[in-house]
Amino acid sequence: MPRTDRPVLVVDDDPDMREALKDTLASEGYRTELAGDGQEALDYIRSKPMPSVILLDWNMAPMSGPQFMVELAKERATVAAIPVVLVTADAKGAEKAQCHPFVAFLAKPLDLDALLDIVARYSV
Amino acid sequence: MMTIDRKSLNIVATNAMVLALYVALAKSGSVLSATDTSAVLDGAPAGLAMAGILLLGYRIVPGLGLGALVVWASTRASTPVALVIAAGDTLEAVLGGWAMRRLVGFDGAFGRLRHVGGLIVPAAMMSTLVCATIGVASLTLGGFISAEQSWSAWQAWWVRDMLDVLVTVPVVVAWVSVRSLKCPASRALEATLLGCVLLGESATIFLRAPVPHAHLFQHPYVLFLVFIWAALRFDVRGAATATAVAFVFGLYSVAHGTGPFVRESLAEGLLALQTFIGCAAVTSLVVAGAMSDRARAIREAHDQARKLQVLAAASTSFAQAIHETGTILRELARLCTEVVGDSCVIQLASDDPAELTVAAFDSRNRAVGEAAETFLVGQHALRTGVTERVLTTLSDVLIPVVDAQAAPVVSSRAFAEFTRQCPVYSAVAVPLETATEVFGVVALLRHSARKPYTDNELTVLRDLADRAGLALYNAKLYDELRAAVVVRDEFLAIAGHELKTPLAALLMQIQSLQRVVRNDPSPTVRDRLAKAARSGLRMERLTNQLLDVSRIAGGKLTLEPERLELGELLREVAARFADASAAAHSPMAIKGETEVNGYWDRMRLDEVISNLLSNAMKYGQGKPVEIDLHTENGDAVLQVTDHGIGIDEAHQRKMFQKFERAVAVREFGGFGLGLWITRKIVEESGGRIVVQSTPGQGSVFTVRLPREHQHSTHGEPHAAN
Repeated sequence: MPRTDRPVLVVDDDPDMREALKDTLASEGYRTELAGDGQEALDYIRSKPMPSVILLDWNMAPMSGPQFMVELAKERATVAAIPVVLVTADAKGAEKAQCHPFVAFLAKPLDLDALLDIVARYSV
Repeated sequence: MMTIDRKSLNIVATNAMVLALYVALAKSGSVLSATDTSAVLDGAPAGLAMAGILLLGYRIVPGLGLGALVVWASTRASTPVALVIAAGDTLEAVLGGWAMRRLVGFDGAFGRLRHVGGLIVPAAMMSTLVCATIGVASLTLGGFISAEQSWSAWQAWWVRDMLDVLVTVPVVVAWVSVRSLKCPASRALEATLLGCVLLGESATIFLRAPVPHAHLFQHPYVLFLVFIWAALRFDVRGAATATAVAFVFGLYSVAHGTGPFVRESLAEGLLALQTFIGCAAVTSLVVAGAMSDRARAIREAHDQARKLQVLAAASTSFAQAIHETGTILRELARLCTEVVGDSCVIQLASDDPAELTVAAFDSRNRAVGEAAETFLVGQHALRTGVTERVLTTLSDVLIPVVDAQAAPVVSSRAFAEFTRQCPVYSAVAVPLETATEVFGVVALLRHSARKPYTDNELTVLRDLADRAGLALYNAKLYDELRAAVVVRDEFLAIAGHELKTPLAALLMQIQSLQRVVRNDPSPTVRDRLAKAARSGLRMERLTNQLLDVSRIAGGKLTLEPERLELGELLREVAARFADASAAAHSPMAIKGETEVNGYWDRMRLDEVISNLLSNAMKYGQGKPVEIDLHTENGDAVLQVTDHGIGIDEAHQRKMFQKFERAVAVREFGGFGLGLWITRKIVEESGGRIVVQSTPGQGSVFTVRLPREHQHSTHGEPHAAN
């Protein structure tokens, strides 16, 4: 049963990871939209309806996660306020999470329950 | 055009002086022979003439010849006879001088027994024989002495000249070459004592009236003891001086009718004295010569011993792990300079095949070394001449005397400038090679003309260069080894990272599917997915190990301790192994304290416990596994016991190393990194891990952790048996 109209925006440079997240969230009833890097994500946000939550990878090219956060903060208030969850394989994830206004941090490989928990919390 | 230069004037002046001296001495010496008419002898100073030739060279021959001529012309001998005898006198001096220089290598000082031998036989005996024979023959043939007189005349002449040479030459030579009279007080004291004894004894012997019963100290042979003392302690100078002093006393005594050498005629008495002094002189000179030889041998032995010591030290210093090429080269230059001298320059081959670079320079002379270092080291030099020869033929080059026209050892302007200030008289160059390449050229330079390099010194240089070559090779290997390890660790990091991404996606799909079928009545899919998940998790663990290894090896293992209750963590990890435990039919039992609090890195300790449990499962052969947690002396102690295949002692020592497994590769999978990582984490936390095991009966792994730890202490894990 679909939970909400607003999709979850998945931003990751690995296509398999994007698919896995999409499939996982789909079987829980969420709609997802995919973006390959920060720039694609920005383009999506500026042109399409706002997503409920963004799952953001850290290392991407041409625009990385932190670069995306910097650009996002420059958007209008409602857009800048979209909750963003940092998803990264990097062990220093917790440190990195502090520099930007992430609402949560998930380490890869993802704990499924934790992921679903957070998405449920923020998608309203 | 005749130019009168300084040198010619010098020679003329010297000859004039010699002439004057000769005549004066001859005339004063003739006082002795005037009283005896059985021989017409003039006191031609044979000894001084020979000493003159030895010290001043053949250039004084004209002066000597003229002097002899003047002396003999003023006697009643006829002119042709005078000419012949004068020639004989001159010949005597020349022959003696020649014999000393050419035959025994006399170089201005009586430093060897050989020199003494040369003085005694060829100089004192042979050349005087020539002169005496010529002289007496001429006089007899000229009718100035009768045939019956000629035998005793000849004898007297010969012995007189012989004594003159034996006594005068060493005394004059020894004292003329004295540089300074400085010596330690004890030595001065001894010399004074010797002098007093000599004078006293000479007086006692020679100045007494010729009574038939002499007491002990009036026997002339007592003087032998004094002469030997002088020879033993004061070398040729002492021996010659003592003999000369005694001779003077003796001459006086014979002339005045005192002492033990008074005979019926003056000539006989003189002969007796001369015989005595002659024997004494020979004895003491020989002893002195032998002592000189001995002292020289001892000095050389000391030098050799010192050189060997330095070479041994060189080996040691090169053998110690010096990894830096520059240091090795500087050390080599220093050693070469110290052991052989005078200066050492090392040139290295460069990328440009026609050029070399001056890599190091050292010199015994501080000032030379510092000056040259600044403008020589780092400069480029051409690869030609000596260096080309050494590098292409890989042979040693010895240049005992440097030819100004030939190519210099270092072909550069800077070096040419250097040689202008510090001329190079002798050089030797050897290749500097390692096992795989030719590094460059090591060359030694000598800045004085008196000591050309010898084969011995070439051998020493060759030896030092070989040792340096070994050290350079080791340094290179060490560098390559370090670089290889860095590359390996970097690769591990990259590999681990690359593997993580698809792994994350894979695990997510599996877990997601597990959620989808969780309510499915048929267990098939669920079971299969569970197995897939387990494989995936194992792969995740292995990948993490790869990343851990590269991190730890790179020194990047940083712990993030937090308040942690170990019992709870243990139960959590054990729960994760529940499936594996069931699958292996290896029940796990946790005992001990249920709550152990401390300050540790949760993720890392999780890894440690997982590793230990995973090992227990893997090698447990399906037997039960016991896990014990308790505290001891404030430390947390975790013990994991299995009853499986065990580990033999040889492996117990090595098992905590990287890539080491105690079992065959094919049997139980894994990288063999688990225990190494475990050990590193435990040690970094300030703890220790030990293993006790008996093959076939199982193993006990014991981890001891302090509750809190600030700095890491590194201990070696050991097998306790």
